[in-house]
Amino acid sequence: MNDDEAAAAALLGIDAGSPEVTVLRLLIRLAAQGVGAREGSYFAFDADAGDLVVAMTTADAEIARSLVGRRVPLGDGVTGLAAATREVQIGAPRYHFETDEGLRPPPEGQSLIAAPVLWKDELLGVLTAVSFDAERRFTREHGDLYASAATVAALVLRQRQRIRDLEQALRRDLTKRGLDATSGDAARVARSVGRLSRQVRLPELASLLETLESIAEGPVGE
Amino acid sequence: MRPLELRASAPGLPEDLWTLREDPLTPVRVAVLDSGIDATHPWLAGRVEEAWATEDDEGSCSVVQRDPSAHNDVFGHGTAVGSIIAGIAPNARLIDVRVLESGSTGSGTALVAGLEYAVRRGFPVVNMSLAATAKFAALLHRLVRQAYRQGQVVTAAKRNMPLVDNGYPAEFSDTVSVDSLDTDRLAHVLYRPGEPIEFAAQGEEVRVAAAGGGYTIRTGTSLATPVVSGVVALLLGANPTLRPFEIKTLLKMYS
Repeated sequence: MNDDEAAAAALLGIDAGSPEVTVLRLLIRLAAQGVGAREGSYFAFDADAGDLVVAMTTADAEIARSLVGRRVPLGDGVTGLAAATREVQIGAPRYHFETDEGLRPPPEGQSLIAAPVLWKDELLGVLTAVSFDAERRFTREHGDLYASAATVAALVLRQRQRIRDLEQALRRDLTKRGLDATSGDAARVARSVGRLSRQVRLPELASLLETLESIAEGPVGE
Repeated sequence: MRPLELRASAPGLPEDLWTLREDPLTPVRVAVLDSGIDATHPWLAGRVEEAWATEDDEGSCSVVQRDPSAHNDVFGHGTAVGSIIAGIAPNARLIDVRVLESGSTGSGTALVAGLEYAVRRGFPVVNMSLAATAKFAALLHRLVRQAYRQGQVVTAAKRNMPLVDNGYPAEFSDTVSVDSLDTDRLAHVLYRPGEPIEFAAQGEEVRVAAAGGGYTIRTGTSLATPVVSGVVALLLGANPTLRPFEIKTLLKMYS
């Protein structure tokens, strides 16, 4: 894994190298291609700082290195507005007036889509697409597609967080019971729970957790 | 979806809505519940009569007065919305009610507080180019119902994002709910019989004022809603006694 991927994973708050990182990157690329955009990005919401930070982008490597980690205040531009209003925003940069001669015709410029990634009422980030083509202006239909992609992104990110929370909870519980949660059977159990939670619903996992726990406790009693 | 053909106007009103702008019109106050308005922008200078802002006050929201001639917009959204209303209705007197704060993610509580203030003050038109979640539905419903009974017209944007609902208060029939339309006819309002969102107006690639100066181009239901607010301000300017149900009927006729 390269430094950019590691940085992206850290910004996303999910484990580097997890399948979800790959899925998210693919989703960003597909969504951008779907609307004919030149670039797509994902801005993670940093609740502590109150701003958005570029976590992932489809821009080429050199541009990506300068973009990842860049911060945008809430409400700033189309991206910040999408986060602040929790609504898909489609817009362009600001054009200036000609002095004394009315409005200057829009130059070749950008069109931008920004769709907030929401899990229930919680803002996770913003998915964006940008076009540098004067002939390519995004429409409501493009916005709808991005809104759907944002919904999928929320599911991907939230799933990863739930798995991580579950693994951490299990490790804490095993540690409390005197088991070493970082190695051996206990560690394998914790990882198994993480994999299994992808396949089964949590209520059904409850009885399975009890079985796994008794397996993990077995070696200590001997 | 096809626009209805123009029908004969009601007695006393011209057939072409646009010609209303040439007649002497009564000033109409239009409250803009949004991110604030940049009253220093050339397109908005002198058009903002009052400016208010919601502020978080130990868990509750209070409404405080601001300078109506200042740049009060934290995001640029309210300036865009206000510029559409001002452009369509020369008789519109904007009441800036800021319900979005810099650095925050749009509190539904602030939106409710702003609407409560607008209803209490009795502003004839209340533009809401924002949508709240179902969590605030009951509170918003009570307020828009009160507004309707008081004769106020609340225009509300449909949510841009396809979630489980169209956004609140647009879901309520007490409002004039608005979707976005791609048309080259500004101030053209389309009536959509049987749809939960009853009206649609131009909302694609709309040229709007940019906070801080200049202009920008935006797309969405946020820009369609002030088109309807502007048209409503024209109708009320021609006949200030019109009630909300009459406004809806006229919008349908002019569709």
